[in-house]
Amino acid sequence: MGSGVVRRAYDLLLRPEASVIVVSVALVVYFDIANSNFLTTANLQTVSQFVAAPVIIACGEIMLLICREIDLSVGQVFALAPFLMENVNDLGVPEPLAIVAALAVCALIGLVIGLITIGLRVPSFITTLGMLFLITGLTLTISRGYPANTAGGPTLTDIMGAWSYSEIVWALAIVAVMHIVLRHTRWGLHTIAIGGNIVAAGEAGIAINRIKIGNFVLTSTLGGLTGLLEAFRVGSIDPLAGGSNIMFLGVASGVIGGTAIAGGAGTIIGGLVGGIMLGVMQDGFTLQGINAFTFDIIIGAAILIAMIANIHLARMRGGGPR
Amino acid sequence: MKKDSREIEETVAARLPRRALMAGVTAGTAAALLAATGNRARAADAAPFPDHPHWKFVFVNHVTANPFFVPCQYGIQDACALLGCDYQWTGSETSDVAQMVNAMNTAVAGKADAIAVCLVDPHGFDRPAENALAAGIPVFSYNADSKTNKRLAYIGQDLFLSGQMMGQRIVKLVGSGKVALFIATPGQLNLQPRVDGAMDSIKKSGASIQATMIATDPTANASLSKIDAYYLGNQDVKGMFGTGGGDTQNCGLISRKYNLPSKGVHSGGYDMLPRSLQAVHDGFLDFVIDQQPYLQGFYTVMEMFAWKVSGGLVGPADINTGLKFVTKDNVDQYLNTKTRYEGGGKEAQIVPHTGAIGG
Amino acid sequence: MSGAKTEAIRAEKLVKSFGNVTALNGVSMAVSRGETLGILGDNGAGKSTLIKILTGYHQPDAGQIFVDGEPVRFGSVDDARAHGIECVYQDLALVNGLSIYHNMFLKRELLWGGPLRLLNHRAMRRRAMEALAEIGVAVSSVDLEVGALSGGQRQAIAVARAVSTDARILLLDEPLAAMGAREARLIIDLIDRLKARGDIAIVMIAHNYAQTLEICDRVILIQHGEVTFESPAGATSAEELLDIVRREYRAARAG
Repeated sequence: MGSGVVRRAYDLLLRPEASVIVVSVALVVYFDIANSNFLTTANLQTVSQFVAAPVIIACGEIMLLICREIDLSVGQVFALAPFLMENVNDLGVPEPLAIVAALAVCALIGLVIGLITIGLRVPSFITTLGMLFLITGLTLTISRGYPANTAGGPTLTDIMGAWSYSEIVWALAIVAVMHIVLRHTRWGLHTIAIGGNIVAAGEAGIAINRIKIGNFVLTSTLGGLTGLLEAFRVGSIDPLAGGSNIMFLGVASGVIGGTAIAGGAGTIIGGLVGGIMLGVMQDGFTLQGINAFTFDIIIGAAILIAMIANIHLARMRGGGPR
Repeated sequence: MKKDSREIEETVAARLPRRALMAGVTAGTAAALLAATGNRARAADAAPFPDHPHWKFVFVNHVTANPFFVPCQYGIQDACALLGCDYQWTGSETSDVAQMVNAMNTAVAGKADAIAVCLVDPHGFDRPAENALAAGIPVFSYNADSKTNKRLAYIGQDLFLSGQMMGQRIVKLVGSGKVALFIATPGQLNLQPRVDGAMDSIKKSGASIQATMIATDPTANASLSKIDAYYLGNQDVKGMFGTGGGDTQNCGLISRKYNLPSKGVHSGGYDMLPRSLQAVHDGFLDFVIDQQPYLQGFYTVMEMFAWKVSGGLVGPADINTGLKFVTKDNVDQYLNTKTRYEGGGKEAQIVPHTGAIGG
Repeated sequence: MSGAKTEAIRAEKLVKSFGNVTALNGVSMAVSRGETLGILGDNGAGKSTLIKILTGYHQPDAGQIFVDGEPVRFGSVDDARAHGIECVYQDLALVNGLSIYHNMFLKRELLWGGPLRLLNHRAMRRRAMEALAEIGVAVSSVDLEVGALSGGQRQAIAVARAVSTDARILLLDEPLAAMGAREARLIIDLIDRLKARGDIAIVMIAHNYAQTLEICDRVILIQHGEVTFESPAGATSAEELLDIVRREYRAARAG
């Protein structure tokens, strides 16, 4: 079985995630040389905080992208969830239940998105674009535009994001679960089939509507969870938090990691690796003292270079862009 | 440090340089620094100080791309050039507190020499500030402040006081009736205290003014539409006032669009954006309040440097960068000069002043 | 049950109209186990409609279908499947991004036991290899993505999938369309092997007279909804079929 192991290792290296890992490692080496503070515990903690939120969002968006849908409103659900929790908590409901209630509403939002997209046959781009504005307004109305404080005992807040490593632990756990779902359950396999050949999936008898709607519910719920974690991390609930920015970071993490934006194929591990690459870049360049204006130029250029390298490596593998 | 409003008025009217308000910085340091600036156009190296590394000062901001902070950045640049230090301008473009917290944490991990942050959130920066201080990094706040934060000093406008001053002026201008106070991001500490101060002095004056706070938007474009819509829905309003640069500029535009002065509607607000100044000149805004962003950058660097050079013995001290009402009477000089100090130009220059100094 | 070979499926006088258009006007056919029937005819003649009725996709307006001698009525595709009828359509219904074995087990996946219901990749791989070996289709690995295979191999996989469901009646819609000679050989050999098993009835829609006569035991010719010619393959030739078609064509032009 020796050659089998070598063959498996070779195949692993050819995967899209591998080239992103290579680029990330190169970046880490570069930043470490450029700044001795990069590989310190304090900074790695900060890197993990840059990485965690987009990665969790990516886990949901990747499932949607694979079956040729998208959710543009997840950043808004991110901002709404902590206010929902706070409102329910104010009614006297204890915090853990308030958290569950907030997540339940987020799941409901995902269900609505799914029903409109599938039932009324509106392209998900449009549905979630409308929801984006709707939920923004909802958040502003509930919050009256004012930020609020997070509540809860130390253990709860630590678990839900206040402890420095809490978010990255959540992110890794969610990545592990979603990876198993995608590669080792029928849900994941059917999601890929729907994205790859919806006619074939229908002829095989796959429950296309149920799976698509389920993925919308999943994404909105993960968006709400991420919003809660970030609110507890910062200690303050802000109507301006999240938004399109975190949505794009999540989608970008997925796409950089190898999920095709056109659908039909995807990788959760790639989402993690893409998120790590983006987080390393954001932290590393900030650490180096790049000013805000040039920062955007550099991040944009870095993403382009990384993706071009990725795509060329894919072509060399002989698969074409996945 | 609460100065009573009359003292502020006199200071404002006298237009004295702000160095007189710097309590706590020893006269010697101040004199040495200012002698250096006074005798030469620019000090190529920090003359009275021994050799020191190019300290890195990190400024964390909530609206890094907002034009209001351009003169602030120039102030930082000039002070750093003067003192042989470096700076980094970072944070969020969209008032995203989490992004700002990330930037602060990165600065701490990166062992910045000093950190300045706009404390737009009452508690969001408490832990990062504690971490910085625990790591031996001095933390200052500028432009916006929070009393619970452990920052060493605040350099900026006394926001509540400035709101009170604006409230007094509103009472003088409007007399009675409906007044709208526009705020881009309610609750955020760089703006909310102004509204609170204005409401406070309006109430204390006993005038029959119904003042309401109206939320607009962090971006100028969206806020313009909102202010426009507000006016169309409330054409009996007697005064429309902004609490930030964008809102004030937009009040001026709306005032111009509907020719509000002819209808007896007053407007005004904060910050010296070019279109706001033009509106003041043309009579569409009654006043704007300058909070001296150049000084917010310049003096913060001064405080950081003084702290570093003296090992923390010198300072830190709150600095009130003051407020100045700019009206039709004194707006011309602002309009006719484009300088680094107000953000209109980039070149360093000496702006000549002639004639008596007075309000 | 009469006759040396059991009739796997028989259709009698099927009629089907879509609005004003009569697609089938009393079509009858029958196939036995181990036999291959070729259905020829021009586009629009009614071949696809016939197949769609046999697979339960459409319901006939009149006429009757018998499976193994028993009258049946298919309300849906699943009904037909339950009677052992599988169809391989022209688009093959394969998902390019998935592997061979994933495609073969789509919606019939094998799971590990237990509450988690995880996919049992190992078992599916093994069974897929067995199924392919059984009908003599050679691939280097069942892990290959279907999109990376040649047209002939993809067709073979699609046929293998249908066969592996224990289908007793196999309908093939234009299996050799757009295939080069070598690839067609693959499929022809495959169909021969399936015939040799003796337990599957195969119905094949085709355009190429010569190929069809080579593969099939019997052929029928459908022209505007009616069976105009029927013959064992050995008793006719491509020229004869062509003549019939040409005659029809000239008559249509004249009339």
